[in-house]
Amino acid sequence: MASATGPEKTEAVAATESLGSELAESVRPRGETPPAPAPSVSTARHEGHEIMVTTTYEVVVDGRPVTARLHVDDSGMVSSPGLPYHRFASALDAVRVLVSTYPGDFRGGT
Amino acid sequence: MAPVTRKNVLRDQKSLNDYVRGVGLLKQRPSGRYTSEFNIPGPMEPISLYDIFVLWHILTGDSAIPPGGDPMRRNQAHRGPTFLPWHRRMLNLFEANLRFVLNDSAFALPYWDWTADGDSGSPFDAPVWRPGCMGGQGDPVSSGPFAFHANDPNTFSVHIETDAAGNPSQPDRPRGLVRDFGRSEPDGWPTLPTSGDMKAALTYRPSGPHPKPEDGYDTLTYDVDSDGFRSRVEGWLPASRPWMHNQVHMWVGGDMVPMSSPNDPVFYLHHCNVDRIWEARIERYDGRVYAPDMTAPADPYLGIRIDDQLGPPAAAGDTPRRMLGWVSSEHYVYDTLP
Repeated sequence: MASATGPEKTEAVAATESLGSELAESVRPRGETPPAPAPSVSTARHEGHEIMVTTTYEVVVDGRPVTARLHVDDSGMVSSPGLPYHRFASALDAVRVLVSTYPGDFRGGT
Repeated sequence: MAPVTRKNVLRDQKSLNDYVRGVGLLKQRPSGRYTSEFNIPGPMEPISLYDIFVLWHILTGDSAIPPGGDPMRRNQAHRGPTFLPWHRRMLNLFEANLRFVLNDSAFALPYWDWTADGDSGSPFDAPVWRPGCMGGQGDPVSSGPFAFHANDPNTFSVHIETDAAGNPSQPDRPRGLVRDFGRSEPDGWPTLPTSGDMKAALTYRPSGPHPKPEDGYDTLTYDVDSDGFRSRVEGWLPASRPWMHNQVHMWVGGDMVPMSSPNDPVFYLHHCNVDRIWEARIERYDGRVYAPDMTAPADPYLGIRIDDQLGPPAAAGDTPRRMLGWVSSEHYVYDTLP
């Protein structure tokens, strides 16, 4: 692939077409099982001890498990891939915003 | 090649007109790729050159550093030190495509100085949202150059989005752009960053007895919680609320909320301003410093060190060091730095 920052006009489009091709090749083959939601793992050293905290959220909406995962960072804040610029103090708030941002993924409700 | 000058979108009508026209041309130009190649559910649809950038942003946001790790801890383009160089690279390639479709080698991306709006109380009818600029909010947006007209086959429309899990998806049918300004917490954020917020990020100085110059840029553990200019301009710190870059995405709302945020053409004006603020930090405070350098161990930092390849994909020579030095007399400059 040409440099992504090349000044030549035709190079730019060629680079973008090549980018599309490389991105397509990087996509998981159809039918391959996606990885299970990974737990969040936080580690720290404290007074000579190695600390590891593993967190897994199990989220159910209207009786159905939610595939969107929640991640907790080292400061205890929660985020989710569907809301990449948000950070929440509450996991419930994170799910509330997921439901209102992606209504098509959460059909039903009353 | 003489440098081009990136200008304030409100102060240069030609930049604005060319940008709007160029976006329309990139939306119409096929990339040669189809949704099925990306396992996007639904019918097989062609992907425009514009929408390749939307997909690039989505897929990069799901590419963890280190490989096989957790993209929510740190990915190739966000939540870590490559946030600024990766987006500089994205802007450069997008700008180069616009030059091509406009047949204008002097075209430069304009920027939106959102701190001016933040200082004015974040009005929903600020000049940038007027019909003669980016148009306003709505579901769909109904004013300005990116308004949705259902019966017009060439109307501006959204073809690639994400589902709640962050995976690429497509709407049942092409739909209009959505903006939903200033929603309250937790859905959004009611204000834009102010010039005071920007100054706080620009003048950040690391604490401690003997900070190294690059500590001002980023520090261990190089993620959302690591202190430095990068984390502050990306908008993670101080951790009490969203700031700067993240705050703008949350204030605009709608299609600026998911990882498919390049769907909104204002994304590039926003990131051009983020890039301008980075350049101001470099010029006025830090010099061209970056962290981590190559002494950081490959496990877990391969992909974010100064001479590591930025990706995906594997573009020859695009490293954080190269992007750090890209603004120059050879490539582009800004009309003013904050």
